Amino acid sequence: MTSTEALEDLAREASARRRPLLARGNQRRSASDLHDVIWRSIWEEPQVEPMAEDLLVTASAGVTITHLNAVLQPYGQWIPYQSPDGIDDTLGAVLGMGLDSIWRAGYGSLPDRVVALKVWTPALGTFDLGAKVVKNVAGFNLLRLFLGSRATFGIVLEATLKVSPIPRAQARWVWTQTLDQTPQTLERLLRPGKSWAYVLGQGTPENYAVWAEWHGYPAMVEQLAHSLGPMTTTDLTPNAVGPAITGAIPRSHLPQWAREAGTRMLLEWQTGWFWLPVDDGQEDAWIAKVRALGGIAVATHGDRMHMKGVDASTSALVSRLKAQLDPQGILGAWDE
Amino acid sequence: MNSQEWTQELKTIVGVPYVIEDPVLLDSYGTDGYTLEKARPRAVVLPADREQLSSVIGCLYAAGIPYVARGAGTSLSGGAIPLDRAVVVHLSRMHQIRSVDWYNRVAYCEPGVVNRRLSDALVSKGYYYAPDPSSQQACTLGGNVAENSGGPHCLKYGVTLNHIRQLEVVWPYGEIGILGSLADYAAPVDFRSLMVGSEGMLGIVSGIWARIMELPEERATTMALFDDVSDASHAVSAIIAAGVIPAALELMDRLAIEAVERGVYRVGYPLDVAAVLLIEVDGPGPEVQAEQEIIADILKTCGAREIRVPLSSAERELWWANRKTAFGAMGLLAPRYYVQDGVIPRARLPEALDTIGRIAKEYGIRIANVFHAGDGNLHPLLLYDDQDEEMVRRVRQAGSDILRMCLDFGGSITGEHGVGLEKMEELRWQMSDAAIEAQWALKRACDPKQLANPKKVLPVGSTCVAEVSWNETENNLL
Repeated sequence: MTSTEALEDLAREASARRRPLLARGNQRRSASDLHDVIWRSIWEEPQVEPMAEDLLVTASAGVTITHLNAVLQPYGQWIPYQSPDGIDDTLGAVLGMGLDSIWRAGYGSLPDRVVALKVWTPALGTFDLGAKVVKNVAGFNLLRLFLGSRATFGIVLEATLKVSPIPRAQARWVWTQTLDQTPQTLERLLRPGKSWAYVLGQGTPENYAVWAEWHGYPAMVEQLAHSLGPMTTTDLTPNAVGPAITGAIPRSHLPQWAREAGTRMLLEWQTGWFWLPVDDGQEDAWIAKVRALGGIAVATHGDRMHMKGVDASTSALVSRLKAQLDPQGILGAWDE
Repeated sequence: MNSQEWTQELKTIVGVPYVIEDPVLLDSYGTDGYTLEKARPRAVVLPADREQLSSVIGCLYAAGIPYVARGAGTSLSGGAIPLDRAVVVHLSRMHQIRSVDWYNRVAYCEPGVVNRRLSDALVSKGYYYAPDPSSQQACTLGGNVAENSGGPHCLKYGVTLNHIRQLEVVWPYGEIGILGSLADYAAPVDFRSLMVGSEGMLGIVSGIWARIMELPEERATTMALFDDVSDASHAVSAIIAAGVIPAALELMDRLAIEAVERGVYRVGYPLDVAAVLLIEVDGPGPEVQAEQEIIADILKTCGAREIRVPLSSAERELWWANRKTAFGAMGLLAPRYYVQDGVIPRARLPEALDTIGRIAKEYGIRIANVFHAGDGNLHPLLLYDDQDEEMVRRVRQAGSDILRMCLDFGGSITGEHGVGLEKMEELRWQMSDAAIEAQWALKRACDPKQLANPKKVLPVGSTCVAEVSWNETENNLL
């Protein structure tokens, strides 16, 4: 029995009993993680198929990012994803939950890497979306429906992603300053035509640490060292594992958001991406604050899709889609 | 609501001059860049702003009249052809760049803004809009969003989808909605991304917040001439495999070179050259120099006969003008040309070009190749005479065979031109019935009456047979 067949058996049973079906990852993001019915079903080894010449890789949803990057490393390639809380997520969890990482500025967003998916929906079974090439506009961009929607419409079984070359040189600098000085620091760092791999900030307004990492060629690193001074070997300290929200804020609101969110937030100043540990049960309140600033945020734990505050028209669209792809409502959950 | 009633209502909304009913004028809206089909709309309406657009769509929804949005009509897959005698909603009056938010690096534009005009408006401040379809002098941002357009410089910076932060959309029932946000993050249900590339079938975009980028510190273009097109395509694979992602990596073969050298922007290519590669890298100075050195080494190893760098920015502009007018230059070789658009894995470029050569011989037609080699996006240009019906038939079949080849190689039937009217049948080759039905689910959720751009993109699936009749469609073709 393949893992997909196992999943379909589970789904039939869930459907017959009208019980919910949860997809689980490595269960590090609370008790109800997503997307590893596949790997945990143990009928199959985690599958990774690099397409090195095309800078693509296909992997089953239960593969962890660490395992994926270990397979890609001999080809000089990687998927730039690193969770600030140190959890080694499965690929399915990252994609299904709509997470992203500190490398977003230098390497683009994770959803933009996904070129093909194999998904399973209760109404239509298993099917492929997209194509295993870097460019494709055949049909609607439907794979995006399954990224970030927490298995509400279907379960991601496999994904094909663009990979990045491992940079020939990388170097990191760190400064401690006040929060108010950070926008000027950013202006000093930015180079037209290429972003830093990250420019991250964290701390109190008076004692605010900024880490900046460049990925590129040795000659550039030399030039930066000449202008910025000595590099650091200090690593970022992972946040504690626990409830958090992640997302992005428009750049114009970053200083305000940095003050409002407090000292535990890790903020990427080029893109407005952030990771904010919050008290258990406070996710909705913080997500609402992000929306009020024109941003978007999701919880880093749990299988519930946070839809509070979404306009009625969008909510109605979601319901109509749900009715067609999961008519018995055995998958996922969202607050209407 | 009868025909007179809804046309009267449209005139009340937009003003009498902006509803076109004259059959001669209507025929000029009957086709787009895909010249193999045409159809006459029942009317053309030109709203001036989103409120008028919303009222127009509300009126058509109430009357049950199908409609199709039109920008500049440059679609190469028939996306703007009004099947089912759809009303054409022409967005040319909505052409304002409303504002530029420099801090958030976003330009808020109406859908009728011409692509190139946006970059022209930004360049004095050191910014630009990255997606640059070859038709950028004419095509509009609304059309780019509908088709998820690409272009030569999308290899490094991504296609339209990667440059849209937020959209304002008029849903098929007339309501206005906002999708996405100015923050660079996808919503849990990412309708913004679903709307991009939906070919006007899910709603009409009335406002676009496009990401703008700083002009790179340096830009370096290299031209490489090859005696063998296979060597050129090997060089493409080698550059990517070396971990260098150029801003653009374009290839033209011998027949394409012959055409562009007859055109306005002549570069002076040797007439016996088999292929030209144009490679552009950009970024901070030291990075650009490092990548140029790597590329030069690869080009030599792969047997480039000559490597040139431009002596001035004017020369660089000439090279790009030469490349971007390649499609039009085909008119200097034949009365008509049919642009095909397919994608293959980059590593299979040499095989693909061989196969296209065999297809050209088999059908007795000439095929030029001008394409985005860096992302495996082929654009074979099939030359023909539209007075020769037999030749038209062979051209269609050859185009179809090329798409079969793309799928056999593990690719796609379209990389940037869309499915439109042209490739509905071919979509079946690429997608399973379940995948097509999932697409229909999205269509039905957004457009319950199925009025937006009817009979495009999605072939009729097993559950939708009763809803669409091909005979009816064919009867509507002129």
